[in-house]
Amino acid sequence: MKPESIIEKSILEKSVTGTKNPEKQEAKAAGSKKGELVAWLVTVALIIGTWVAGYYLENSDIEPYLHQAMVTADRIEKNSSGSYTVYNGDQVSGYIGLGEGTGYGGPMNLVVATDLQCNITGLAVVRHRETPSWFKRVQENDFSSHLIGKSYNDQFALGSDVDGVSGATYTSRGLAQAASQGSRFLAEHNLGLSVPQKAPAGIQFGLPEGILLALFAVGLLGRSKKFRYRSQLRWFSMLTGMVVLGFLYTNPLTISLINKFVLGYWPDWHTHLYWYLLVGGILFSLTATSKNPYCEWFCPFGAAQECFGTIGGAKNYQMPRYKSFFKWLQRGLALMAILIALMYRNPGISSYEIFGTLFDLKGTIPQFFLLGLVILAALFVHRPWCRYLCPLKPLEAFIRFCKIWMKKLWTSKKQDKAAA
Amino acid sequence: MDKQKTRQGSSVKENLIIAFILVSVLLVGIDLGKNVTNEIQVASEQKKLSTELGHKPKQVTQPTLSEEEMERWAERLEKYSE
Repeated sequence: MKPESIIEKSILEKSVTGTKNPEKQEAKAAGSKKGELVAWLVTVALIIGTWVAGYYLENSDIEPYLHQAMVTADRIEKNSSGSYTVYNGDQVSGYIGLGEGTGYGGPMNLVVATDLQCNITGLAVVRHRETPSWFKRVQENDFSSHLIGKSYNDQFALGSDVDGVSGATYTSRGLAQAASQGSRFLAEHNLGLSVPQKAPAGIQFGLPEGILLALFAVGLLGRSKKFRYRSQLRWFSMLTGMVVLGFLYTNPLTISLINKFVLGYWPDWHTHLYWYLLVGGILFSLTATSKNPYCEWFCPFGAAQECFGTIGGAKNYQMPRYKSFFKWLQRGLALMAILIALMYRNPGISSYEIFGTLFDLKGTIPQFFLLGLVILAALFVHRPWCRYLCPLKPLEAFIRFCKIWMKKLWTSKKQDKAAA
Repeated sequence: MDKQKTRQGSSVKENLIIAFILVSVLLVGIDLGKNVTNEIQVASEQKKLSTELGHKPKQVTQPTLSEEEMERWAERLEKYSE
């Protein structure tokens, strides 16, 4: 099957090179390109604006938590390093810093107060992205009391140093990690203490990472038109992607990962190598070869849809009348998802994909309804989710557009130089 | 007649696809709306939770003696120590 961008291109070329009033057609094509440029520029401006708004709205809430972490403070002054000095009268009585740990839902920010020996005296949670019931469990178990009195020298390891809360291990670990980071920061920057280096995390390279790299290689190789067993190889690649990346590891690419990166929540590459390989691989193949092997060749959900399509004899219906409407609806949905995540600074809040619903059987009632609908549609229409709803397709279109635009700028500059 | 039938058939398919897209968008909207509502609730609850989760406020100790009484006690202590 041809990717949609190629079909769009051929339609555009046909209309431009048509015999009926070619000048008018050319002007229309140039106008639509200009409109596209304006739309992308507005989109980028909206994303930047929402990012900034979300950032300031979130950060403005930090101040009240400082007093919660150290209730006895008379005065709190901000330092250039980003930490705070606490005064009782004119005497410095402690320091307050920010710590960050990674919970189940994303980063957790903690305000950590210490005494002059850098022992933790108080904690206050500024921001968490945990499921409320899990967070409540931690709160009910009075987990923070296990962290009070800990020093920057302690390991904060769950099980040995700190007792975790069963059923909320990620949340407990995230809080302990944030408390450790906050106290270590204060020890180093405010008290000038030598902080022992933590052992660096080892690179996690396992089966999913290996298979992902192999699938990228297969996808790039198989997209070559000269390859004889293209169709068989594509099916092999899709089924491998569906079984390993979908059902075994439930690791498909979602908008929440893109949101995470846009928000600046870049997880440690040693422990999250898979995601860096996935995003990096797609970016590389899109910019270097203009091809996206992931979507067409091994996206687990795409493969599942094609399996259903084979059963029902799905066809690739073209609807030129509504094409533009569907395209902008899909783009609008993706933009809305990104803007919501940026505004609330929560990457997972706007992820509307139903991958986990299919591969892990976890989801909300609307998600299960949507999954049923998509499966039903996939029996008759070729990849309905990918064509009309997937938020990653507009992102791909954006990258392609940027590439073409940059190329044009580059060549026009070169031509100008040559003319001069 | 055949052409008319195929036209009718294709318009039914078109309508079905449009219905699928619109219902799907509605479901996505419901899901996102629910998430956003939860997020707002969490944000408002968070302050409450963080107060409880964080360090509990210490009772500020109030001096039981007035300043004058304290001075008198200090004088008496000085006398006894001499």
